[in-house]
Amino acid sequence: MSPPTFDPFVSSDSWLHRRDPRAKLGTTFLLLLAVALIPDGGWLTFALWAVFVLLLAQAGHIPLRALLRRSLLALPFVLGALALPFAVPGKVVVRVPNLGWPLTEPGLVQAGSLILRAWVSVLLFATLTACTRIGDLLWSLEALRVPSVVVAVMEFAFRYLSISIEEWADMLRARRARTVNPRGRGVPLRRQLISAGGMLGTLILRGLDRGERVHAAMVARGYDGGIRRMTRFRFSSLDLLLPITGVLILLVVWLI
Amino acid sequence: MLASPTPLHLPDGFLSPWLAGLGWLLAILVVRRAVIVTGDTLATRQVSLMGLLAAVLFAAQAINIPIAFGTSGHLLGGALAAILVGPWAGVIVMTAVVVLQALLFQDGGLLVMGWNVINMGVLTAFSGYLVYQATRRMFPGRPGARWLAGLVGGWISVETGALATAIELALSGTFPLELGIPAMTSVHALIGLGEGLLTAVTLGFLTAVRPGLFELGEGDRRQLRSVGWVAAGVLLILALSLMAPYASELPDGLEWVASLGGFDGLARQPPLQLLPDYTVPILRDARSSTAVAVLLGSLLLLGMGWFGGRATRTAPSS
Repeated sequence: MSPPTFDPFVSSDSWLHRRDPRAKLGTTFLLLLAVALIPDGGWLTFALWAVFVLLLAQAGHIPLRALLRRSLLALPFVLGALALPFAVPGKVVVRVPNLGWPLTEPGLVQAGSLILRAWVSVLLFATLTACTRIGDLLWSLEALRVPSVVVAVMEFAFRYLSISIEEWADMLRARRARTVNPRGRGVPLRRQLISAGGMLGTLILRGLDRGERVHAAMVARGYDGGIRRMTRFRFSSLDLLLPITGVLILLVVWLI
Repeated sequence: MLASPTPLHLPDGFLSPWLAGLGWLLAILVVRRAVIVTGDTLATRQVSLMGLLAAVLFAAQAINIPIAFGTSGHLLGGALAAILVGPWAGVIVMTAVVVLQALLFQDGGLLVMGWNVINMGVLTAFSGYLVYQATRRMFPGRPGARWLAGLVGGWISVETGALATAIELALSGTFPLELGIPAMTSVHALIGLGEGLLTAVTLGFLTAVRPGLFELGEGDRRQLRSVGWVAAGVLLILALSLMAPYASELPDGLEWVASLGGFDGLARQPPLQLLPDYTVPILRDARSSTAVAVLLGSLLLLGMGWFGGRATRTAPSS
């Protein structure tokens, strides 16, 4: 198993990549706010936003296919939204054959708007993270006054995430390899659970022990609780352009 | 696929902006509190421990364990983290997990991140921890007590998160309450059972292999009371917010049910009128005004909870 890559597109370079992460994070927040304010049934607005986000992704050299795959994650909630056309009262458009369940017009409008709003939002958010290093994003969190202990925990978690996931995958593969019956058919639930608990517990113990070792090694190199970074950002006038655009878009959406 | 979507990670667009803002406010306050509380007891050593625990829980969330009948176990981990390192440190661990999931996979939105932190980080850790401690005390000295407490705590923690999510969706006018609560709680009754079982067996293994591990999470009795205060505060805010839509003109699912049942007139009379006729001139629609009313009420409650929590902190530890 090759190590998982979490941010496959940050290594490419574009105008969007070079912007200050603080500016990108703040602007994304403003734009998401604007998307959340789109009223139900504003189909033209949704279409404009979709075009805007896709252009933004183009500017960031992000492959369209990968971006769309990311957006599938909101799926469980989207499936929930499919219940709305039946639940919201209003003019009945059509009835489900045989069952007689009514599909109402306001329900369809509400569900459609909800799905589009979630989809445009997730595309926006994915564009931000695809063109920014996670380390830089975490740095901008700290610059935006998130407590440094919390950011340090995130930093550690991110740094040891690949190892933990690989370790977990290895353990599951090892169990498959030495079990005659990998799917566990006919094995009592009790035994399977004990095996699962052993694996999870081992994973936790290894993680905690690794934490001890890492900490000892860091202290030996002069760790005093603060994390030092190589990258420095300076907020340029070009960076200022992003949040200004964000505020303008938000104002336009708000006032219309 | 590394991220497995669970119906607890709220995506953007499903909550109204006002409620999302309230979520951020709550999350910031609770996480700040967690940093202050853990700052007293934890050294720099614990930062790396919490980070590694977050990485491990993230990994356990990302890849499912195949268990019987072709189903697979999926660990959320809030209760487990709180039991192992204590509720406040557990909040920091789970916050790191939730934020990283959003930043790495967009599993959970940015605008609604506050509520995701509250639902999956704070409510799971606190409710899981409280139920775990309560259950364990019911059977003092019994060897299976920790196992049973882990089962119940894990289960309740997921159900609490699901219930809170359903309420938030109803408050935003996304899903009507009578649709959201049964759907969320029934699905998560099953998911929660898996969570409880996995939490229990993991605790069983850790008890057998390294019993000293539990000192950090179970030792401090002071934490129990302050956690109770905050958990009660957050749940009260949600309950209070639930009353608010009655006071607005917003046609929601409850009113629809009322109109079906023919007691339309009754529904127009709110059972509990909060900040009656409250409107803010800048905000045009009824929903925004309601949200502001909710915000004010919440701040009031939060302030009460804050002083309550402070009172328990300055009290001499027993």
